[in-house]
Amino acid sequence: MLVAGLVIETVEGAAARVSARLLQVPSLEVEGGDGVRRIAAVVTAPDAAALEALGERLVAGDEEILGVFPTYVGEDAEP
Amino acid sequence: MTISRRDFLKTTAAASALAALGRPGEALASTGGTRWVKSVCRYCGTGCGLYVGVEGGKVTAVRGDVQDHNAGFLCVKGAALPQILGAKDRCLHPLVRKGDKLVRASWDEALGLVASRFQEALQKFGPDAVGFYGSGQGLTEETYVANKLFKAGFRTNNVDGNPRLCMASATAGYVGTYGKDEPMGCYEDLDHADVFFITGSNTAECHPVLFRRIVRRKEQGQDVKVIVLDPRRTPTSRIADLHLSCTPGTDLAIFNAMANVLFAEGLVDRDFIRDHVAFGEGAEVNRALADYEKFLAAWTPAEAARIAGCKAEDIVTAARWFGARGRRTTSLWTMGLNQRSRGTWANQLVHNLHLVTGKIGEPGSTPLSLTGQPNACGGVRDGGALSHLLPYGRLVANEQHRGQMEKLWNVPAGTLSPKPGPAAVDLFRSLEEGKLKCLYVMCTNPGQSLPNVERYRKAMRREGAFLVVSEAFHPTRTSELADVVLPAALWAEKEGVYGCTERRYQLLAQAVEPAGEARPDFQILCELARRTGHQKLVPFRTPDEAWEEILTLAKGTAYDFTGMTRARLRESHGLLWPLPSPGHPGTKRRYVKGDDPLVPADHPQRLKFYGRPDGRAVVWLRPYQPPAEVVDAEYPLWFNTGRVLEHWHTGTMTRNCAELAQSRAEAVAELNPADAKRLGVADGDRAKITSRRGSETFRVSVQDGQRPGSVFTHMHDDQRLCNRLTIDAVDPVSKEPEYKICAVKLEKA
Repeated sequence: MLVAGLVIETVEGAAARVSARLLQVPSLEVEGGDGVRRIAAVVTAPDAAALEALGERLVAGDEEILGVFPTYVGEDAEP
Repeated sequence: MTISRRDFLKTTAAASALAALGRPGEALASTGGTRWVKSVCRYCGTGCGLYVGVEGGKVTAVRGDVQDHNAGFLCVKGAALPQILGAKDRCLHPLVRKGDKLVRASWDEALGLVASRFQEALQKFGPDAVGFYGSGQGLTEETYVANKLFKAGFRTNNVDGNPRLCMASATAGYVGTYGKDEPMGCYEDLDHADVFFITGSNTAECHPVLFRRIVRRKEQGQDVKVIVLDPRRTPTSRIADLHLSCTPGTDLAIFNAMANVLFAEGLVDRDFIRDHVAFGEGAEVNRALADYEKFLAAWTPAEAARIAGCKAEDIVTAARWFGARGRRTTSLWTMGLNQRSRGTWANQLVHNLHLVTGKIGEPGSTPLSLTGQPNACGGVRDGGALSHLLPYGRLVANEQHRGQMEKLWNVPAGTLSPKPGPAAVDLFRSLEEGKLKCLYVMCTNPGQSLPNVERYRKAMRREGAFLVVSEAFHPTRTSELADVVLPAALWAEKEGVYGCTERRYQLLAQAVEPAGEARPDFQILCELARRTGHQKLVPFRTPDEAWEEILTLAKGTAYDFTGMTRARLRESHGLLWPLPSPGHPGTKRRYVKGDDPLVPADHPQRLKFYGRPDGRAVVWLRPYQPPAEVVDAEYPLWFNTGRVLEHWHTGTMTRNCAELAQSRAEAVAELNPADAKRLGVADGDRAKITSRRGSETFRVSVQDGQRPGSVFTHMHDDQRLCNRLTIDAVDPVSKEPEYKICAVKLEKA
């Protein structure tokens, strides 16, 4: 299992709206943000491919998300 | 209280993300069984600081360094770095060719063979029978040992490296204009710019962490404009206020036309020109402002638009934004300018725009070339590991410089050859011609990355040629051709210094032991020196000892980083040179009085371009010249190559990361919808692309952003070699190949 820390960049002023939508995403936990355009989140994924796919889905599926930037990726041997 | 491993990782991940937002969490102070080792990303020239998480002797995690310039951010490649160390194709033991096969050998056998073959060639054929081809990915100390061993030990200047393929034109541009290599600006300029002029750079995919900084500036600044000059509409263009698409290779005309507009509309800074600028043509600084204005008169926007296939009004707009009074302009570029048969000129014409407007040397106003590799600047350009260079701005052809180096290296006068060696492409031509008998390749993949690659792949397997490849992975498209493969330690398995785009030097600490029998290149080269009788010249036991010597070479030069002691590098999050004493904070903006310690405090102007004897930068009169190969009836499409976000260079590392390997690993041919229709191919079809040098087959990807009449392919795929098609014509000054432009035809396969 992989655990990643992410910063999700949104269009200006959209952080709260995007955070609310992110609550619906399984395996993603919103940890905080700057209240304007950046959100800190933690995701867990079974493998690196799933993690990458999640990042792609976030950007493709939400017009107010400009980018997803990993700040940390750690590996847990437990499934 | 105990927490589970999963909870600990989540806490660390959250703390890392919050720290990137300027809200450090508590978990980073926790040990949790993970040891964090300060390092730098292994990929591009941005030089993102990061920490390597080690548990049980293995790298299990990375996190961005919030105190470094990247503020904790990494791109997807950097985040996947732990996977490269345990890759299934790591080279774990030496290999020696027996007939058609590479078979396992001991270090003693492999290095013994290398030493004996090199010594035999030296004795039979002289110094220029051996050569070294290095990398902008090697650590500074590694490259330094190789450079010293070959130039002062083997007495040959047959020392070049892959930065010749990516940054040589930027170097030639800086040296021609300012007298010294390397940018004067820094990343912080991105936070102050009002106008970004991005040309020949897909920053969004190739330097994503810097692109993020540009995006933030655009959001936060007042009416920040982004101009993107690029034949393709790339992801970088998504933030452009003006995307200026031109026929490949015609940007020289556009740069001159922008200068024309700047003069015509009174947007130049004549006081700055008077105080800081000289003018030149050809190789001489022999012109005046009036000559330049006369030269520019012919370069009207209409004339440039005719050549470049763009709108004249867009050129005018770009010039007006670039030169607007009271606004700060930063130019950024990479391979679109450098990898050209007139790459040096293209670089110089961008510098011209900054010099005539005086938009240089102030926060937010600077020309800043972005670098492709993590240590092309620090190890190769600064360290002088190219065939015409000696360390820290010295030249092979300069008798005084050779004398300085012979004294510093404590070798007899006359040891260093006065004749510059062959640049990269010519080095491999020497191998082809049989002049070069033995070539040592370190940390690079010329069997995939050289232009017109089939020609040079044959040269590497030519009867009588002896090819040594020191590499962390096997097979690569180069190691498969080798006579000896030496397993090299990779990234966190060794210690050394990287120097990135903005003159920032950073120390990578060793975090784990090398995989298998792999050894650091530093150790391999020191052993080769011992076995070839040059232990006295290369006596180092550790990279620290080599660094101590390197500091003495930089002292008193324009690169002076004497204050970057190992201890200081260890505790810092990157230091920018010049940094001439231990207490000096480093230099954000070079040539600027009050910031750069090499500019005298009593200098009468705010800038001094001390790289040149008169202290002035040169505006060069450079006309438009077409590329080495242009489209015609037989080869009607322009061909261009480049990168994608997920993959890097020849893909040896990124293909080993699961999520990256599943994303765009296969190179495709991007084609405009109109061209696809005309050529009878659809998205997903296989198409054979042919140039005068060879053919390769790719799947077609139909893209609106691709300029009509052109095709773009990716360079990372080791099974579909775009360089079978590219041309090995080079810039006459920088000797950098024209990867970005040649003529091809395309047919459905």
